[in-house]
Amino acid sequence: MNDALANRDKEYKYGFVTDVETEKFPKGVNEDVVRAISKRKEEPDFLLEFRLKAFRWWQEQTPPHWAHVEFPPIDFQDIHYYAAPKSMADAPQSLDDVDPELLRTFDRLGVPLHERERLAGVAVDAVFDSVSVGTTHQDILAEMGVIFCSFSEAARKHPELIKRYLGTVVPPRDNFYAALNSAVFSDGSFVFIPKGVHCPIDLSTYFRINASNTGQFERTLIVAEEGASVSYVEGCTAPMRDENQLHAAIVELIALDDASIKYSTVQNWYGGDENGRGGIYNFVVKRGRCEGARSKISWTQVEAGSAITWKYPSVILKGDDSVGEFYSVALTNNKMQADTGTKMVHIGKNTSSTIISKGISCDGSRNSYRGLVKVTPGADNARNYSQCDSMLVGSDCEANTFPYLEINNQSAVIEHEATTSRISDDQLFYLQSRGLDSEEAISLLVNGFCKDVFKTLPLEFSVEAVKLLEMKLEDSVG
Amino acid sequence: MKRPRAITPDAHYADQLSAVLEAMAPCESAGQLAARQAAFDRFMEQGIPTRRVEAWKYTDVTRLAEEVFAPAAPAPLTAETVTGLPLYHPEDETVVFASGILQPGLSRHPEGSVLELHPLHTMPDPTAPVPIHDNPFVDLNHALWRDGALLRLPPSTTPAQRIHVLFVHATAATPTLSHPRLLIDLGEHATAEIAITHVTLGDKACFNNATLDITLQPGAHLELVYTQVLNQASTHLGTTTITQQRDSTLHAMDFSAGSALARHSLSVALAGEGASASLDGLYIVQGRQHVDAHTCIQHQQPNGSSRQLYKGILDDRATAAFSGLVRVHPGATGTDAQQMNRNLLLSNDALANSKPQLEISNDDVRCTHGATVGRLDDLELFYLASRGIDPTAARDMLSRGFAEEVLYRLPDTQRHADLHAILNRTFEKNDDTTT
Amino acid sequence: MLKIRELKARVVDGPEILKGINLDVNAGEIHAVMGPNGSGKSTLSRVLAGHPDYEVTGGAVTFEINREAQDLLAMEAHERARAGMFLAFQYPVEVPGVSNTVFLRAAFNAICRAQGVPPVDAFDFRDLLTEKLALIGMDDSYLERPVNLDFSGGEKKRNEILQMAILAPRLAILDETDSGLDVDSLRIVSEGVKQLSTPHNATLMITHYQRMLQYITPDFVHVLMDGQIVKSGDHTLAEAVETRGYDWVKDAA
Repeated sequence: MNDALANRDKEYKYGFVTDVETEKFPKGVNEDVVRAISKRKEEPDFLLEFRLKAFRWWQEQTPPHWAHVEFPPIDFQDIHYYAAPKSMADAPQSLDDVDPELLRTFDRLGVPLHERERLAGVAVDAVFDSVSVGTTHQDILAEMGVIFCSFSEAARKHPELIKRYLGTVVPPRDNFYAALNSAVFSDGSFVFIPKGVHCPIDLSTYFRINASNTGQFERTLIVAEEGASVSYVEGCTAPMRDENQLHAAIVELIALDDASIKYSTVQNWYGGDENGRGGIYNFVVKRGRCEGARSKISWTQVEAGSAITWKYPSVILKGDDSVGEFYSVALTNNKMQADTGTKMVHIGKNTSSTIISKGISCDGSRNSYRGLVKVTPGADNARNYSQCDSMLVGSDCEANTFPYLEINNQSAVIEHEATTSRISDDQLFYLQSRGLDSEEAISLLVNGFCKDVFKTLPLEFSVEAVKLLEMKLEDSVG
Repeated sequence: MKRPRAITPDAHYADQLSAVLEAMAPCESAGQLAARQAAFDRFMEQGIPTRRVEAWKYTDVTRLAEEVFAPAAPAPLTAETVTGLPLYHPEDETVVFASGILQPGLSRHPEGSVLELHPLHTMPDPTAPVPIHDNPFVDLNHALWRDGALLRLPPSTTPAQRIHVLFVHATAATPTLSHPRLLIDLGEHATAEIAITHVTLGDKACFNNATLDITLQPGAHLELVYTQVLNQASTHLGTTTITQQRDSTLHAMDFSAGSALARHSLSVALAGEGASASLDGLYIVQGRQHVDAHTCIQHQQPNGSSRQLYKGILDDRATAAFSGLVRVHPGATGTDAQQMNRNLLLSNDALANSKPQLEISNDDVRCTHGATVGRLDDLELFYLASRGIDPTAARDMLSRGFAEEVLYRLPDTQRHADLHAILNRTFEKNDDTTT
Repeated sequence: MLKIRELKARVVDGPEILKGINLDVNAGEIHAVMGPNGSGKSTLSRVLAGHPDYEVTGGAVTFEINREAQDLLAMEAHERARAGMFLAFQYPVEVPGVSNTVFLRAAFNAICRAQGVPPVDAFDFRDLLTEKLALIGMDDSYLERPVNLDFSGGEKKRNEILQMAILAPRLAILDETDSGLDVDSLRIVSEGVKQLSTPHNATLMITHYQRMLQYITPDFVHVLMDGQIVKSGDHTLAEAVETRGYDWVKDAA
């Protein structure tokens, strides 16, 4: 994973295409496609029903437009909703049986999967287009009762857990893209940490889009039972193509009493070229529910890719004394657009939330923070602190801050603050006159700007996140 | 089914237009009458916005689509009544409107005053309205206004007296509707202190839909006090649009304590280099009152500065919304913008919404904003208690202090005292209801 | 005047900080309570003033009002102030929007009413303020400023003493009033305290160092360690602590 992010080439290093024979469903979506996806994954009936209900509702909806982003209408009938390497059709029993070409792809992405090279401290589920290629370290985890597998596998092996939790945080009718995902979701990861277990290693999913004209609709569900804890990391890349590809995922997190879930994302989907051609539309619904008392959900995201990012990892603070956190660095360059932030919904008593958002906009990009802090009438003693800072690099970009505070309880203490700054020539010159080269100077300034977020990432990721930002900024500054 | 974004207004609005066109035919040009019709068509086309429209997210005005209003007729107004109205001072240059109609007999225009007052009907071509998105009520005002005035100060003048424009809205058994329209133009390097006050007579409902357009020519300075103290049954929708040219300066006090529903949209365009605007706002709501303070500052040219401090005090089941947008255009280098909204909740049933927004398209700027919602500080309450002040008195003192922080910024001590008096009455009224 | 018996207290839901304090303060006396950081000095002062963050877990405190011992712990914070108790805060609180005059007059009149003294009118109060301002070396502009807002550290401490001068308490508790003061402010504040001391009132000084004790000679010195008074004596005890340190007291105790 380290190398995957520590990429100093000016070009997007992950822009290559893996040459494998791919099976794709015909373009377009209808009930038959939904049924075919479910059948291909050998899902239990209730899942098919779940998908069909979502699909029927979705058909009646129109796409939302409220985000501060611009893009031509998406033709939802011009997308392949399922694509998988043919070699995965016979469901390899272990990673040893997986097509070496696929394994080589993940090697190249810096996520080696085979036993002798794989990362020791992280269990990885590798998702390639619509299927999971394999999951490492499953044996060690199983000993502790931790379930970590692809969503498809979970649907077959643990249908009762899926049935119990799926769609309970993000209902299929939550919004247009949630409904679409609920109808056609392909693969993703399922994590279950039983009562009292502290997951000993980080769990990670690596998402790779490879096939052209294909949407990726992954689904991730993480459940931490009473007193359990887990740290989960996701990473993502895609080839460079002139077309825009849709990635519409759902992530649901559920934390019971005293449980804690830390979810970190390093998102580096292809963001399009300097003229805004190509790149991924990253329209994702991520939401966690602090179901239990004293539970905690923490989102950290480093958003450095995608032509358009439109997502708000959120926390519903239902349990008394529960804690929600959102730490974000969003960098946009070229013509990228991001409208991202969070929602903190305070319902239980004595709940608290923290929002730290750092937006960096460069070139001709547009970077917006949008966030909601809502305190419901019964949420006594709610606390929120939000800080949303923007940095502008270059004079053609935009940095916007759209916070919403809706406070319906007198005992709440809610504070929001935001600032806008830039890397000025004067600052660079000052640092350079003290012996730093321009790259080091920028790194220092950006690091300083983002340090409150980086320090919440698992150590190896924070190092890589810094490098990733430096690389992206290098073209934009000076 | 999703709720619609707008509702078609009731037919009585069209009746009112017919009546206005008929009444105005003798005194207005064909062009002016056509402009009214065009504005009305825009209003009907847009309809009354529902809360699905972002600008109306926190304020529900849909009942205005259905409720039937009678056009306001000016009730007989005496000089005695006027002198007793809030912010009235005999030495001021006073312009009185009764239910939207100018009352020269009650106004005071001192001999030799530099202020020019032009009735709007006699203007060959009223200043073209700045198009306002998401606000069909401006179009409604431009279609249905009965009377209005342009106040103009010639270049480099400073009136000897303060100017006070008093809008008195008489209420009657049938809810009345008025559309006050006022234009103010400060010439180059002119300086003025102007207070705009909206007040009701009687305790029945009225709906006033006011527009105010202000232009500050280069180097002009305006000290503006906008006060809304309608009775608790009424609705006030005010749309104020201010355009500032080079090096002009504005200080505005935006004070709202009345109305069942009040929304004041205050837009400032810093259209010339080096212009600066400073907005202070205070809203106080109780019972089931709702207030919406809507500000928009457009930094269009380099080296402009803006500062906003809006504070709100909410009691009982009242609701309030602050929406403030600071927009920095691509060419506006050297912009310095600060915005702060603070809300104090005195009751567990009050609801405060705050939406401070920054849209920045230039990297050479210094912009900050902040928002807070909370109750009185425990430590401050203890500090006062430790000096012998009982909890009720301490709460009262701290709430007033919270408001005073805004009022302190009024340089005119008499105006400060005026607003302070309204503030005191509001708090006293509140004490009556709680004891 | 003040009797503290086996007083135990903690921060709400926190560990116990005061572990059984015994102390008697009589009219005309000046007491100093000294102790290292974390010994519970500031907790003692706050508990006596009725700070909401603390809860009493045991013991009793009586305060003499009209020659009758009353249960201090049963009184609200403002009732204690009206009964003649005054806490000079270690960190005086900023009160935006409320001017010093408004604040002081409200407090003064509340205390007057509680003690059966007729309140004074605005003009007489102004005269009283002007007189007391001189005591702490502040000018008139101070009066219209919001309470403690944008005051320097020294100004805040002087403001506490001014309030004490106006409210004329029978028992003044000075919580580390000498900390964070420059030499001039320390002298002004100390002189102020000294002048306010009479045979009818008492002073309880809470301090870490004996800086203020160079100006004011206490009648009694108590050393507080780990939530208990481990040693009491006259002013020479303070000097001994200064030269030999708190470890010496611990060893000696």
